[in-house]
Amino acid sequence: MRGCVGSLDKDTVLVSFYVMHDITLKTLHENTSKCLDRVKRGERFRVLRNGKAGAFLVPADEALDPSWDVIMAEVRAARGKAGMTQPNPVLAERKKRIFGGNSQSPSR
Amino acid sequence: MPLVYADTSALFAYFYPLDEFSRQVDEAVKAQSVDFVYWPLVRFELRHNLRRLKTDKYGVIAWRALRAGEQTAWRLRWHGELTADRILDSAEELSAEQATQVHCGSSDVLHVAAARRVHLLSGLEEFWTCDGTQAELARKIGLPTRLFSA
Repeated sequence: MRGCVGSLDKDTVLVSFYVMHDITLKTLHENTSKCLDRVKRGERFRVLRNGKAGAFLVPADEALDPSWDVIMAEVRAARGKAGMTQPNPVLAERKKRIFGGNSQSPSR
Repeated sequence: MPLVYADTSALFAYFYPLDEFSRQVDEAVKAQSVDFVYWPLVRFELRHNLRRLKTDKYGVIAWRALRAGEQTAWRLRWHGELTADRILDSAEELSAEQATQVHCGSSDVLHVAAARRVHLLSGLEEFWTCDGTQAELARKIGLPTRLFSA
């Protein structure tokens, strides 16, 4: 089902989540017509063959997604160029909340 | 595709190129080609931390990649069954079981409770985190856990 999940702020409103359903080849074979009807209504399916993704079923009027490598290319290039690293802010925030900035936790 | 619950610490590191754990998480993703569990808590924490870094160019790069990722069907797998009320109840249970034994903060417990729920419902390959205390809790309740350490 393609739908907008949540509407907490401007950014979130603008994001559509393409929720993809997994479907086995057997189920697709047995319910091809129903599946295609659902795709026509905007749903997307990932077809699994022997448990692994083999194909996608997406509405014909939608553009295909860029590959994940394309999405992450800029991040990977930046990582390659970046010299200094920075502390993870999620850990820093948790540590501060639990230990009040007093770093007594041996395992973080 | 193996399904992984990446705590926000790990998912943030994956998107933000300067993070101390960034390379390790990226290598793990490349090696296993995993999908990530994505639900409102992870989305909120991840976006909140990336928004705060949108003033630097690396933060902008990370934000763009996340937004592009959210709009595709790759990797970030939305889990509609992970709702706040259910996970808060699960976290309450987990806290009652483990709070005196593992010194986790409340958000650590929320993530581990969510991961446990996904593990029970659909099977989870691994729980990924950069947080040692959280990893301890996850291991204690039997989740296959990977801890990234700098």
